[in-house]
Amino acid sequence: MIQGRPEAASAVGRFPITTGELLTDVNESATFAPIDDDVQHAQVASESVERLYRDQGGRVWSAVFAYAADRGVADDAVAEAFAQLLRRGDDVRDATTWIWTAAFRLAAGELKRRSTLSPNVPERAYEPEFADTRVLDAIRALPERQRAAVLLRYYADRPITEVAMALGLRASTARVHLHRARNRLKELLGEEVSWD
Amino acid sequence: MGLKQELDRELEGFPPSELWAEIEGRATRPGPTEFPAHDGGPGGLPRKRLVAAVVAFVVFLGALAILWSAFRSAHPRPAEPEPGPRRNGELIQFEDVAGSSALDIAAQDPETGQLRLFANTSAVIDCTSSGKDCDIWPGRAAWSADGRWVAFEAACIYGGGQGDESCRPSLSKVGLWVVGVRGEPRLVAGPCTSCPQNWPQLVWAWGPADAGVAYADDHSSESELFVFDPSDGTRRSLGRIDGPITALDWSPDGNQIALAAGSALYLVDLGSGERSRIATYQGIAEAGFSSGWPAGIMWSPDGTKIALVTHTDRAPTYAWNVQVLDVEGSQLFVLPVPGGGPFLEDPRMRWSPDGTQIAYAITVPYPKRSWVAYSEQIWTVSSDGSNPTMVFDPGCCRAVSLSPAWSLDGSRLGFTVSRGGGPTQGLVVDMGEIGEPLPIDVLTVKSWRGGSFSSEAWAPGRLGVTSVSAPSR
Repeated sequence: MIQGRPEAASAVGRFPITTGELLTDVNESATFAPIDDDVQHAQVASESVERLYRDQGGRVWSAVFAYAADRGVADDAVAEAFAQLLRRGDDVRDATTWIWTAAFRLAAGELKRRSTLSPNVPERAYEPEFADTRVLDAIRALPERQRAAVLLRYYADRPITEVAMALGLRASTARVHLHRARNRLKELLGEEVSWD
Repeated sequence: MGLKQELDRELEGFPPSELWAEIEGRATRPGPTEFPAHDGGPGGLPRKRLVAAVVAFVVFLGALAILWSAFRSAHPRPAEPEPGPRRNGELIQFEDVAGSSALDIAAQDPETGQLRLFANTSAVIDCTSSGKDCDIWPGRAAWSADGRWVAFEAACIYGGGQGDESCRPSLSKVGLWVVGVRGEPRLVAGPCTSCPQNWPQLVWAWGPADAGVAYADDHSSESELFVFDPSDGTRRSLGRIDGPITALDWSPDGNQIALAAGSALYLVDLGSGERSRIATYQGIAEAGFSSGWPAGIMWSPDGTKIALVTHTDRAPTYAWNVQVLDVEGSQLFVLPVPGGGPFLEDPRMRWSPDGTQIAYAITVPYPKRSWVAYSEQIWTVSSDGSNPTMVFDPGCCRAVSLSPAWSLDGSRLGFTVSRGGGPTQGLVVDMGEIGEPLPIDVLTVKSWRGGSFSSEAWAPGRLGVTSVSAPSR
C-alpha cells in the first residue's frame, strides 16, 4: 500500500503562516476587492463552506498533494485555505475559484520557504511501495510551475485565467507552461496523453 | 490514457486527510492586525489613508477609461461599405461586421472605435466543407507595412461551441492567409489536411513595404524559409535549414532576414540568398508564445542591432534572457535586470521608434513571511545598455499583465494592466518627464503596438481550450 511519510503526515499546523496575511494577494487576484480590516471579521455561512469542503476538498487536497508531494503541505494548505474562506465570508465572491487558488498559493509558499531554509529537503516526500504511480511520478518530475499548471488545468479543470491567477502569471505565460508540461509528460510517459 | 482518470486512480493510494475539525479550529483564531510594510506598514495609518486616496483617484480615472472603452466597443458604428487600406492607426478585429454570422476581418479606428469591414473571412476560408458546424477561429493577425494587406492565422473548429472542454477542437485547415483591401484571398502556408492534435506553430513576419511576408515551412527534419508576395501570390524559397525555425524578423531596410534555428542566429541576404550564422545561444528563441508578440528576434529600427530573446525551461535555470547583438553577431550587452538575476518571465521588450531605447517589463518578487508574491515593473534602457530607468512600479501584487508600447513619436510609453484576468486598463507615461502614469484608452495602446491581433484563446497545441471566449460574434 502506498503511504505518505509519517513525519509528513504529522505536519498539520506547523507552518509559520500568519492567518490571513498570505491570502491578501489571493483575495486581490480572485475578487479584486479592496483590502479592509473589516473583511477579516466577515462571516460566511459555515454550512456552505462545509458543503464546499465535502464537495471539493478531496480533489483540492489530492491536487495539492500531487503538486507538493507531501501530506503535511497538502493538509496544511487545504486546511488554511478553507479556514480563511470561513473567516472571509461574503467577501469571497467565487468560493470555488478562491479555494483552488488559495490552496495552491499556500502550498507554493511553503515549498518556497522550505527550499530557502533547507537545501537538503528530500527530493521526494513520499515513497511509493508499488510502481503504479507513473503519472504522479511524471507530474512530480515537472518543474514547479509546470506541475501546478497541469494539475490546476487538467486535474482540477480550472480555466486558464484561474491557473494564471494561482501561479501569479499572465495567462499567456501560463499557457507556455502548460504547453511545455504537456510535451514533457509525453516524453516521460512515452505515449500520447489524453487531457480529458 | 486520460490524465485525470489515471491520476485519480493513482491518488486512491493517498486518501485525503479529514481536515474539517482543523479548519473550524483555525477559523476561530484571530486574524492579523497589520499588513505588510509595503502596503502601508505598521502604524502607518495616515500614510495608508493618503495612499488609499491616491489609489481611489487613480482607480476612478481608470474606471472612466474602461467605461469609455467598453462603451465604444459595445457601440461600434455601422461598417462602411467600401473597404480600404489601414488608416488612422486602425486595429485588426475579428467581428461579424457584414451580418453574415461569420467572423470578418474588421479595421477599428482607435479614436472612435468605429469598425469597418476589411475582408470577409468566409470568402477566404470555407469552414463548411467538413459537413459539420464549424467556425473560423482566428489566431494572430498583422497589417502589412503599407496597410494594404492583413496576414492572419486561422483554423476551422467544431465541437459544440465556445468555452472549455466543449470547445476541444477538431481542427481543419489550420493555416496562414493574406487578404487585401479588395478581398483577394491568398493562402500562404498550410492548411494541413490532417491536422495534428497539437497546433502547428507558425512562424512568420511582414517585411517593410512591398517586401512581402516571410514564413517558415516545417518539413520532417528541416525548415524552409520563404518570402511570399501577396500582390501576385508568388513565393520565393530562401533555402532549407536543419531543425525548426523558431523565430524570424526582417531588417528595417528589407534586405535581410534574421532567423533562429538550432540554437543559432542566422542572417539571410535576400539579394544573394546567402545565409550566414552570426551567433549561437543557449535555450530557445521563440516567436508567438508571448503576449508581446512578435518576440524571439527583434531588429532595432535603425538596423544596427538585434535583440535576441531566449528562454530555458529546465529547472532551476527557468528564466528568460535578452541579449542585444550587433549585426555581426557580437554581443553588446545583456538587458539588465535591476537587482541582478535573470528574467523570471518574458520581458516583452520593445525598441523605441528611433532605436535609441528599449522598453521592457520585469517580474519582481515580493518576499513575504512565507510566500513570494510577484508583480511587474516597466523599465527602459538606452540602446547601448546604459541608464536603466524604472518607468512604472505598480507595487506589490497588483499587475499581472503589462506590455509596453511606444507612441509613434517615442515621447510616451503606454502599457496595459490587468488584474487576475479582469478588465484591462491602459496607462501611459510621458517619457520627457517620467511621473505617475495616466489612464489612456487601451485601443490607443494597441494601435501603438501596430494594431495587430492576437487571440487570447490562441495556444499552440491547445486551440481554444481556455476560459476566454471567442471574439464577440
